[in-house]
Amino acid sequence: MAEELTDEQRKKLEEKLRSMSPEEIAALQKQQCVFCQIVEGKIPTKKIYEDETCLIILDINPAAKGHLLLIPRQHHPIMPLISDKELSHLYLVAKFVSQSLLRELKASGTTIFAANGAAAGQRVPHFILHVIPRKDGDKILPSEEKMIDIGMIGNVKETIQNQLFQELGVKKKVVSVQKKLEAGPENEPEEIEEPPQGSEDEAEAEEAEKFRKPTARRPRSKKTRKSKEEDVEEPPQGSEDEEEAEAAGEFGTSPTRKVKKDKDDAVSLDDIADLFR
Amino acid sequence: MECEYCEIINGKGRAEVLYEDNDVAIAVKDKVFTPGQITIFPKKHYTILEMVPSRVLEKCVAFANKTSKAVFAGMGSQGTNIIIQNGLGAGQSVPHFGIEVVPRREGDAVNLQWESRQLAEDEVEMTFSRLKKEVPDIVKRGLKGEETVEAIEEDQEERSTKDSYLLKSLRRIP
Repeated sequence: MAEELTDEQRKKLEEKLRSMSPEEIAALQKQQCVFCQIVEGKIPTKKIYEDETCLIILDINPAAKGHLLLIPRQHHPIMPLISDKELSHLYLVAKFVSQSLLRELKASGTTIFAANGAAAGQRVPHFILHVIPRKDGDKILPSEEKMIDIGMIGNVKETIQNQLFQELGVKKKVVSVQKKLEAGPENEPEEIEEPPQGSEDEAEAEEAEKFRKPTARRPRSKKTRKSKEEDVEEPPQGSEDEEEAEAAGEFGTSPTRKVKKDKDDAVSLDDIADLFR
Repeated sequence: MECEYCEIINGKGRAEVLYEDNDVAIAVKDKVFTPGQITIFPKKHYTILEMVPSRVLEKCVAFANKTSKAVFAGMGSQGTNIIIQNGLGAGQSVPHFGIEVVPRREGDAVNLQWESRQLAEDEVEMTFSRLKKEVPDIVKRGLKGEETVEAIEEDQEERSTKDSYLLKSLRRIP
């Protein structure tokens, strides 16, 4: 089937693709996708479970006996394109499947594994979850061994936190910013010209708080970064405005510090958990 | 407290907390697959996945997905692995459930790809028939909220017998 296309054929194909509606393209994608074919029952599999959202089959190239694939019916290339609701369902199913593997196959652990993108080892552009029964010393995955130093941890935090807050939609702040903008959008540039320098003290943090809304709205172009930590190799889109980092930092250390230990959950799978003791 | 994640929440331990609310914390720890790896874990100490209540798990998963998006955008990663190491046999190193978001790049020299194993056909058949028989039930019951947590079932039984006892004694009153 993998015949080489002539230039003319390729051109025609491209034209055809361009003229197709999104629905038609989705249909074509489905035809091309192994997992969509499996979902539609066009490829025979050993099906273990199915519901409206997903199905579970035995992996034909298993890492271990009982290696399962949890396949969403919908064709989503990667996880970020899946709604929280659907993803939650997938992981809830994975939880109970994992439970069954521990029980039925006497596995001493399970790995729930997902790959997003070819760089992560994803081979088919249809997001799936692997549920793999594990045993000590099976060498299916390496353990987390790489130690990174404290400075690096700080760098990661600085690089990612801003973006993370955007994704999480830290609402408190967003609301206040909008109000501010409505109140007086014209004078905001002046305020921004003088971002608080040096992120150490709290008064400045407060100021930063005030500034946060307008800056959040602007394209991230500011260069007032803590210079000492600039040796991170990550590309610059992640770099925070200092005041945002500050505000974010504040948020990070917010109220709920204490974990209350409720009465112990007695679970039938205690033995697995007990292995740790 | 000895648990590494509990210590992180309490501000001890070698880690930076990126975010926390009442249920879930997102942190960068020092032991990772790749630099930039982020861990999402419930603040309450649940040892393994099976103990995490559905509501908390849903939240962890939603946060993991958002973290993954943030990693793509913020660190320019080309991919992410979302990994749950569940149980000692799976290499879980901290006795506290967590989801790892591992940023990946082409040629990052991290090998998270297992080798597939050849299994005997009858072995596969046996596993298949066994799982096919048991898994749907466990999943359906689980999704319905009747988690197979025996303690809870026992609890409820106790309560219901108590109830009926009370009811009976009530009925006995003329």
